[in-house]
Amino acid sequence: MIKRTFYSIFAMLMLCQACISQNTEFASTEMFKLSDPRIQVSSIFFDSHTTLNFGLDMPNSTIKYTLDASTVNLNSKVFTEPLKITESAIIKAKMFHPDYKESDEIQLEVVKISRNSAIKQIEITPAPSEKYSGMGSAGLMDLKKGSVQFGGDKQWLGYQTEKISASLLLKKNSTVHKIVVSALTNQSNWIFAPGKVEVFHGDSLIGEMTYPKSKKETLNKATFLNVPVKKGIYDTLKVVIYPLEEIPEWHQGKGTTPWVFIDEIIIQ
Amino acid sequence: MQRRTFIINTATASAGILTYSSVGANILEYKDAIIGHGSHQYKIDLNWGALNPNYYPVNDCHEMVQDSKGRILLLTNHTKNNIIVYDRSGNLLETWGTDYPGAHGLTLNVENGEDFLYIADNNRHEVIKTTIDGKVVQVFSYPKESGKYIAKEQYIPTETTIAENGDVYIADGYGAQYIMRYNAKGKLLQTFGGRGDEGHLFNNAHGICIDTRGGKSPELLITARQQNKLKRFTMDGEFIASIDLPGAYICRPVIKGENVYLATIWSGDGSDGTGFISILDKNNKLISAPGGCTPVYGENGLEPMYQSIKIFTHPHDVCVDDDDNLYVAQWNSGKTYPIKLNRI
Repeated sequence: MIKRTFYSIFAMLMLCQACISQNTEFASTEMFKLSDPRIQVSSIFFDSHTTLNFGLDMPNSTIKYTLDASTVNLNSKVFTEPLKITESAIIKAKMFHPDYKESDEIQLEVVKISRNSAIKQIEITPAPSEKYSGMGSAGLMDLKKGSVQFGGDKQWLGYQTEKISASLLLKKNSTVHKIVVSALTNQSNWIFAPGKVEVFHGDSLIGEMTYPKSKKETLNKATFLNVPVKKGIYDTLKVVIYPLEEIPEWHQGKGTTPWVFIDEIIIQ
Repeated sequence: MQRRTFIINTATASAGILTYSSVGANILEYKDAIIGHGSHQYKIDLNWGALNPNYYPVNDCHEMVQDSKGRILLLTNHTKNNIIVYDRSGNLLETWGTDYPGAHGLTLNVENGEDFLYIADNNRHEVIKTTIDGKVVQVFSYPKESGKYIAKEQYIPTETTIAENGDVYIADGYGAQYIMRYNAKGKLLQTFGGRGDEGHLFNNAHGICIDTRGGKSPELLITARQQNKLKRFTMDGEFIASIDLPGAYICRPVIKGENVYLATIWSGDGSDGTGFISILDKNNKLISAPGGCTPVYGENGLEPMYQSIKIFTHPHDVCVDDDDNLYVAQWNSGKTYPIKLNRI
């Protein structure tokens, strides 16, 4: 008897389920994620300040952010109005909404630099790929950032080579403690950040840095490779950029030489 | 991606049949997502047209049309079934087609009361005209006679449109960016366009259609996708004007009533995983963007558009049915079936 009752309840439930499934079930809000917040800064490189802004188009949404590279959480600051940033910062931000799933976290690095480039002249060998020759070496010292959408952007110099060597002639009395190489990560287009950068004065190595992260799977973004150097006054420097030897195993282009895109060399 | 999650959720719900009451309670708490703006807002049906991929697989769902019987035809570049035919409820009616590895453009034209399909195939470098059940009746092979091509590989047609007088216009959207105009017999009459940034040139002439809205004499609407523009031309290939849609990487224009609908494959800065649907009014102003931000016209025209909710992954075409519901086919979205948007 109990068994029979059980079966008839079961059958009824099945029927209910069938009735429901005949009507269209529309997708509900919590199935969908918000898109990444739209971040804008007045300038990636700045000497006094840069202004941070976000698109606040989505009704009822809030954007929370951090400026110290820490992960955004519910307790992070809420963005309400454009914000002046006066020091180099790693900005992270996320969008939240009462109905939809929170967005992914986005990241943007802004870099404080001295007013004018300390670089007088750059010579770079080999020449960049014909297709991505940009504005030549002059573009590496104009303090203008290439866009993440690299196609047709003249700021970028694109290479597919084992080694890129840039000889810098500096302005008089330039004190240098750090070199920043500004590169692009766009792995779906086979563009990887360099694996290593060395800085020489004459024949002596004054700074070097390896970047194991370049091999990891990452979203498309501007990538700044910081190389601290022995602090001093220099008239010439040589910056040697080593692309990854080959595209890592997880990528469809594994084993081949990756592209390296650079748009700026900055003296700090 | 979202769709896959949904299917998993549904499976869990059906498996836990004795938890029916809790499922019911959850349904009450759920808020249907509503997307789009102003007069064109929609609820989302992720279940529409979902099939067993072991039997009816898709790769990219490239384009969709509704035929004279009201059936919805989907074109995919999976050669097990290049065409999948659904009824409007999303039930499978039939499949056909195994010879279209680069199946990309699907245009339906009614000729003497009979439905014909024009399939633009990227891999075969030609456009194939078939009956509604897949019998090949004509092939527009690569236009050597235009003098613009030296090898068939340079010609990668993406879309076709057919004029009242029978002239067939083919857009070489992934090739050299020319528009080919043939007569109904397949004789090449004219070639215009080509690659470039100027008004009359294209960067990714991805879609083409004929615009007779408001009773005006016919014009061509041609996409310049990488330029985020829709371009108007006379039927003789003279450039008239551009419609700027910054941030919207639009696929082919689809006209229904006084509106133009355009699947927008990427948006904003063109990042992976973006996209929405663009809907223009009779003055070619963007009035609704399901999945995208609110369109705002300022001093400099339309403010750049971007995706606001991750509903879509690379929408590639939109089909509008008699009730103004939309069916959205997507490219590179993880082999998902189309998404239906029910107008509210």
